[in-house]
Parts: sequence; structure tokens; C-alpha cells
Amino acid sequence: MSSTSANSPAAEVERLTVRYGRTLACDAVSLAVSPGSVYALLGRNGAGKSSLVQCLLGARKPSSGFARLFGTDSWKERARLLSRVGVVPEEPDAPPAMTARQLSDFCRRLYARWDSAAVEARLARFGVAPDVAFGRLSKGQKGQVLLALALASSPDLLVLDDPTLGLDVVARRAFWDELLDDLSDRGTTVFLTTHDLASVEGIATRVGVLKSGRLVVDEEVDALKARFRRIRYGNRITETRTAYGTELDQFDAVGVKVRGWGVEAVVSNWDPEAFERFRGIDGVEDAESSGLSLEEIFIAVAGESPRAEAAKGEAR
Amino acid sequence: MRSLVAVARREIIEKRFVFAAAVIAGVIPILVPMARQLSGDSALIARQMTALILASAMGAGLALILGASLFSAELLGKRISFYFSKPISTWQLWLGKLLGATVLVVGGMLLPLLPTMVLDHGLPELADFYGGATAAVLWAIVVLLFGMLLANAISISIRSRSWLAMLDVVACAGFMLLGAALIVRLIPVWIVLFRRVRPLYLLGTVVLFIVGVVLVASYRAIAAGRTDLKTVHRRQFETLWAPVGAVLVAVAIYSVWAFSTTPGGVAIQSARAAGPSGWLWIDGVGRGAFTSFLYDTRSGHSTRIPGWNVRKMGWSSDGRIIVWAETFDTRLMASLLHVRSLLRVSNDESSGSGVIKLLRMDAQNPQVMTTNISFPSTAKGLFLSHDGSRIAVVDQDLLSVFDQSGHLLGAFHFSAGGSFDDAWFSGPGRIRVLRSRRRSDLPELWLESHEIDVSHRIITKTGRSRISDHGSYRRSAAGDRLMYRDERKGLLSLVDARSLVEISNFMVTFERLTDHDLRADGGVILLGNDKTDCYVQLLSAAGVPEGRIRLGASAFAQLGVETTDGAFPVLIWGKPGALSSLMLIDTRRRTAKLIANGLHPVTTSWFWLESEPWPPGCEAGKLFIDAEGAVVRFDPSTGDRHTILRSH
Repeated sequence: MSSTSANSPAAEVERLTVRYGRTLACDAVSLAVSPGSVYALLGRNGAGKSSLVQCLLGARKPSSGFARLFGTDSWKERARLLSRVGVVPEEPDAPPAMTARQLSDFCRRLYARWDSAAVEARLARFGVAPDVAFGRLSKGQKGQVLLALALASSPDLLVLDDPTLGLDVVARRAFWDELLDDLSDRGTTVFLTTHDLASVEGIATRVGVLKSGRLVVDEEVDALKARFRRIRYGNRITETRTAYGTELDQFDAVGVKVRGWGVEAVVSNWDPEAFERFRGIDGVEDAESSGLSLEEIFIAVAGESPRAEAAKGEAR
Repeated sequence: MRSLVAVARREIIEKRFVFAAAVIAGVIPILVPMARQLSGDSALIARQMTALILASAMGAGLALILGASLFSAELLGKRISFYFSKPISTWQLWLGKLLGATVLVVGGMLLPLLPTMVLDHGLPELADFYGGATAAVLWAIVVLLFGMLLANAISISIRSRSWLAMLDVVACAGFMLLGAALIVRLIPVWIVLFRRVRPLYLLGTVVLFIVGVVLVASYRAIAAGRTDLKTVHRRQFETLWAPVGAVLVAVAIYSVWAFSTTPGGVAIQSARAAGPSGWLWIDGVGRGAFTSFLYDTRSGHSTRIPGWNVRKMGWSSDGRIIVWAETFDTRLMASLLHVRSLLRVSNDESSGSGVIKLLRMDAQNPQVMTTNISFPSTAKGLFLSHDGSRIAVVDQDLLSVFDQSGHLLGAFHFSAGGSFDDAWFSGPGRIRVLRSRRRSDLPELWLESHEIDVSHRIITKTGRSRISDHGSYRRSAAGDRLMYRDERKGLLSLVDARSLVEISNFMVTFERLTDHDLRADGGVILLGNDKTDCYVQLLSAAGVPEGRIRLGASAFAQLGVETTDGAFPVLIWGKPGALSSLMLIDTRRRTAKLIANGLHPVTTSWFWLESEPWPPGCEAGKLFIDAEGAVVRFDPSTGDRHTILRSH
């Protein structure tokens, strides 16, 4: 089935740059999605996630760099490669006049493997009527139909571009549950972009964060969560300390807030031994650390607005 | 292939309402004769014509509507990504949608005909109108496909809402203007090309090229732009206009190259003497274009003239100045008139008014000068004084004389009811005018001779003579005598040009008089045929026969220009396809000898250019066209011969 070697990532981009006129959507981004992994690409609106996905699916030609699926250039070999890929787009794009059943019948002719029964079963589980025109379905139902279609060809790679955007909590839950079922059944490789960080926290094995077109994080979720922690401590003012000192530098603090009771910082280079030494520093009182959720890490990394980032850049 | 069929099928199913509309439309032709209470053949014609009109309207309308929504609507609505996220190659998607739309358009066009065809057992009335039904249907499909692709291109341009849409409009308008300009500019090329290629084939090639370009642009736009409407539009813009622009620029460069050829680079089609001094008017085909030149055989200097726009040409008898009237007609109009004349539809090439241009042949670097003398559309004649300092224009009942700078020296009105037969400068400041007129109460035709004193602005009638309705005359090179020929009576008369008093007359004894001329010694030379042979007849000024020389079997003969020693070259055509012979008639010894084969004098009249009385021994009399079309200088007296200009 696959013409690529087993070592090839299921999806990868290499120094991928996408421009829209003078606007830089992706700036030399490189990442790879290993077979069997679930890669969650995170980023604020306009960070360049959808542009990267479009390049990966061969729907847009990169301004420079490469996008590959199974080791092959996806722009050049799009049609052949997509026979192994299931896609759920950000905006439901199926022809509005077609019913879910007609869509399934249409797709059946395009794929070597197609499980129409599985489509029907999933639609039944979602509670979506198969004979209602796609254009008349709710946004949640449209997403569910597209997920059912994406999974029906038993793809080697599933690409989900913010599939739960605009869905209510129940629809979101149903969507992720269905995806989890498939993951547990077949171990499909998934590359997804989302704002629904809480839902993907238990699914994603690796995370990338795009910020203003640049990939600022690309790491296994466990390692990321081990690296990022919150430190809180009372900050006693002494003759030599006016606010807080440089002692947080060793942890690569990405966000520091001075409160009335002391200092709260999010650090990106947590080290237990260093923390023990930190606790002994004169002026640092009642220091304690706690873990962060993926959402908190994302906010710490990507939270600064692009405008502020730009202003900072100009100041430099 | 499965994907292609799936896409095409999907396109058809989604818009299947088109077929329903077409079937409903098909009922209308059946209802029309009923509503108009027609029966028999009238009902048949009404039904079938209605069906044809409906089918055409449906086809055209659907091509535009479906073409406009072929890709652009889904691109704008971002629904095209549905197809691009599936294993459908770009060409399968493009061709599938195009095929689907074509089936819808063709089906929508043919379905309205079906009920009528069933009822009338075909379309017998329409078959009478359109013989080549298969070709008509194929061209209709090509045109509908073009319409569909054009609508698709326009809708992409509009829906992209980019500044490039403005450039589309600019490019379209610019290229259409350039194309139209080139079509007109290249008429001299079309005339040549259409001798080898049928115009319909060329038109078909152009249509197929344009359809091909739009087709490729449509594909490349989708292949390169895929889901991004602006990129699709950008690629469409490049692919659409780049080849069209490249072809137009290539054609424009070709036209510059084609029209920069020199007389040395053309295949000479005709060469006519433009004055006695050795200048020629050469028409030929060079670099694929029909071009015309004035060419000096002595210096090799040439100047291009717009051959088709030249109505009249005159020259000074000293051979230093040529003038011609150049009409303001568009090249298209001028060439159509020319073609009309060539096809013998009409001999009238006159059209709009023009301006008189002048070339000083004795200048170091001869340049064409445009005078401010206009040449009315009704004007009949243009001639120069001996030294070229005076230009006369003959128009209906008015003769106007100008100097070279365009100042009017005199306008001479003649009474209405007559017509100018000839006019020439008979001396310094004097013009001889021959007018024929018919008195309203009498059937006779009279020839009147007038003399104009330009300086004193006086017209004097100097002679009057009754002439035949079937007559023609030729004047001597000096302009003092006329040789009048009454074709009905077979009588030739020598007449004094001033008084129109007959000097002598004689009967033409040939079965057919092919040519005749006045000799420098005052005598007359006649060329004529009996059933098989050609003869020369010499007569004295008093009309006394001086001898008759048999030249041999010939179908036709023409006289060249008399040499200084009183000899005449005679061109003789024998059997069709054989080389012509050039014989020299010694009028003093009354002998004839063959001097060359395949040489044609450039002084004989061609097309509408009147044969002028050439001065004996003039340079123009020594210029010939040989069998290969080359211009040759050949002295009939000495036999010296050399090629001046080869034909390519």
C-alpha cells in the first residue's frame, strides 16, 4: 500500500514558508508527525495553522520549503497520497445539495477501500439523518458527517483542521469520543489543529505551537508538561533585593507576575534540583511549584499578542 | 478514470434540473403552430424554426450560466477544497466538471429539438437550410465550449475581486485593438496567404487557437491555484494572456519585418514604367506580404508606396518628378476595392478622396513629399508639366493647376454636359484639353479641343470635330497630333490636336487591330491579326501604305517604345504557355527580326494605369521583365542586356 519507507514520517514540513502578498503566514516551519502519533498543532487565530494544513494536503503550494505526506511531496503527488488520508476541514465544504448518503456514495468511487456500513453506523451514533441535504445540517452535524467520511476509507493518516470550531460542548464531546474509538481500534496517525486544548490533552502525543507563523514549540506532550511548571513564592524585600532578582533566569521564565503576596511565574525549564537550591535563596519564601495544563502552557507560550511581539521586536 | 466519471456524474446530477427545463422548452415548438392556428408546411416551418431558436437560446444561455459557475462559485465559497481533499487528480477534477457541464449544455440544447424531431420525423425544413448538419453541430459544440470557458474565465476574474481583474479588462481591450489593427495591417499578407490556404481554414485555426488557449488557461488555473481563488485568477491571467500576447507581438514583429523588405527581396508580380526615366512601379510578394515600390533602375533607390491606395499616377516628361493621388481609404476599403477590381466585379477602384504626393526622382536622396493638394473622389486625371513645376487635377468640369507647394495657379471651369477625355501640358503654361460632349437635341458626339493659358487664365476653344460613339484616340509623344480610331467603321484618322482637322485617314484591313502608335517621323505603325498570323502595317503621315510585314503566328501582339533610330520592339504571344517573342521592326528598312524571347516591356499598360505616349529612345523603353520575373535592361537596338533586379 505504501510506497514510502517505514522510517518516513506520516506527515512532515521542512522549512515551510507561506506568504500572502506581504503577509507571512508560515515562516520556515519544520515539523514531523511520526506514524502512530497524534500531533496537535496549536496556535492563535492567524498563526498559520490552516495554511500549513493546506500545504500538507497539497491544496496550496508553499512559497518555499516542502510539505510531504509519507515521505512524498504532497503538492506533486496529492491525489495518490490522499487515497491514504482522511480529512476533516475547518469549514464544512461538502456540496450543500448532497445528502450524507450521497456523499458516501460519491466518495466510495474514489477510494480503493470504503466502508459504507461504517459511515451509516457512525451517522446513526451521531444521530445524523443520512438523507438530509448537507446544507441543511447543523454545523456540529456537518462536522460529524465529515468525520464519518474521513474515517470510512480506513486512512493511514487523519488530518483534522480545527474540526470542532464553533461546536457546542456535546457535539465536541461526541466528535472526540468517535475519534478516540478509532484511535484505540486502529492506531491511526493524526495531525490536528485545534483551539479545544482541554479535549486534545488526553489524546495528543506531541504538540507544536505556532506563533506568528513560527513554530515555537515542537515536543512530546509529557516532556512539555514536565518542562513547564508554575512557581509561586513570597518575595521578601531586603537591602539587596528591591523586587525580584535574576534567580528565575535558570528556569527560563516565560511569564512573571508580581502580586501583592509575592511572585507567580511560569517557567519553561523546570529542574527539581535547581528548585531546591532556589528555595534556599535569601528573600525567597514559601516557594512551591505546580504542574500546568496544556491550555496554560499554550497561553504562556502563545499568549502575547502578535502586536505586542512586534512592538517588542521593534524595540529590540 | 473512476474519479473523472464520479466528478462528471456528480456535476450532472447536481444540475439535472437543466434537462427538465429543456424538455419543457421542447413542448413550446409544438404549441406555437397550434396557438397561431397554422397547418401544413407553415406549421412545419414554424415548429422547426421555433425548436431551432429555442435550442440555440438554451445552448448559449446554459453555456454562459454553467460556465460562470463551473469553478468560480465553489472557489469563492471555499467548497472546492472538498474535491481537493479527496484522491482526485487535478485533471480528473477539471475534465470531470467540464465534461459534466458540456453534457448539460449539449443536452440542454438538443432536448428542445427532440419532440419536434419525433413529430416531424427529423428536421426536414432545417436540413434544407443547413446542408452540413454534422459540421454545424461540431462547430456549435466548439462555440458552446468556448462560451462556457469564457464565462468561467470572466467569472473567476470578477469573483477574485483583485486588481488583476482590471488588468484583464485592459489586456482584453488592448489585445482586441492590437488584433484588429494587425488584421487590417496584414491585409497584404492575407491576400497572399489566401491564395494558398482557404480563409475558412485560417479562421478555423484562429478559433481553435483561442479555444485552446482558454481551455489550457482554465486547466492551468485550477492545477496551479487549486483552492485559492486569487492564485487561480493569477495563473489564469498568465496562461490566458501570455500566449495571446506572445502571438500578437510575434505577428506584430512579423508585420514590421514583412513590411521592411526591399525590391530586391520580393517575387515581382508586375513592373510598370513610372515615367520615362527608368523609374518603375513594382508590385511583388516579399516575406509573405504584397508590397509596392517605386524603384529607380539606375540608382537602385526605392521607396515604398501603399499600392492599393494609389489612384492615379503622373510624371513629368523630363522624368524628374512623379506625382500620385493617395486616397484616405482605409487599407481594408482600398484592398476590398482592389479585390473587387481583380475579380472583375467592377473596374471602378475609385473611392474616397485623397491627397497628392510627390517624389523628386533627381534628388540625391529621393523623399516622398505630401502636398496640400487634395484629390477629390470624383477626380479623373492627374498630370504634370514638362518640368514638373505645375500639377494639374481634372475633376468633372473643373481643371485646377497648382505649383508644387500647393498654391492654386488657376481653376478652369468648363460648361456642364461634357467630359474630359484627355489633357496635357502642350507647352510652357499651356494645357491642351480634349472634351467630348453631346448636344442635348442631337445624337452626335463631338470632340472639342481647348487651350488653356494658365498665366492669363484664359480658355480658348481651338477645334471641334464630330466623332463616333465607338472611338478612341492616341496622342503623339509631342502632343501635336492625334490618331483617332473609329472602331465601328474600321477607320483610322490622323488629326491635328489643336484644330481637330483631319490630316489623313486610312482603313484598317486587319481582322483585329491589336495595337497602334504614332511614329516620331509622323507616320503610323499598326499591329494586327488575321486568323492565324500577326502583321505590322506601316503608313506615312499622309495615310499612304509603306509596307506590311508578317511577324508569324501569334494570338496577340503589343508595341514597345520606339527607339531613337525609328525601330519598334514588338511583343508577340504565340501559343498559350509558350514564351513570348520580342521582335524589332525597322520602320525604315521595313524588316523584322527576333531579338529576344520572354521579355515583356514595362511600358505596356497594366490594369488601370493608362499607357502614356513615351518619348522615342527613352530609358523606360529599354526596361523589360524576363520570364523569371526579373527586371532587365535590354537595348533593342544593340542587344545589350543585363539584369537589374532579380525576382525571388
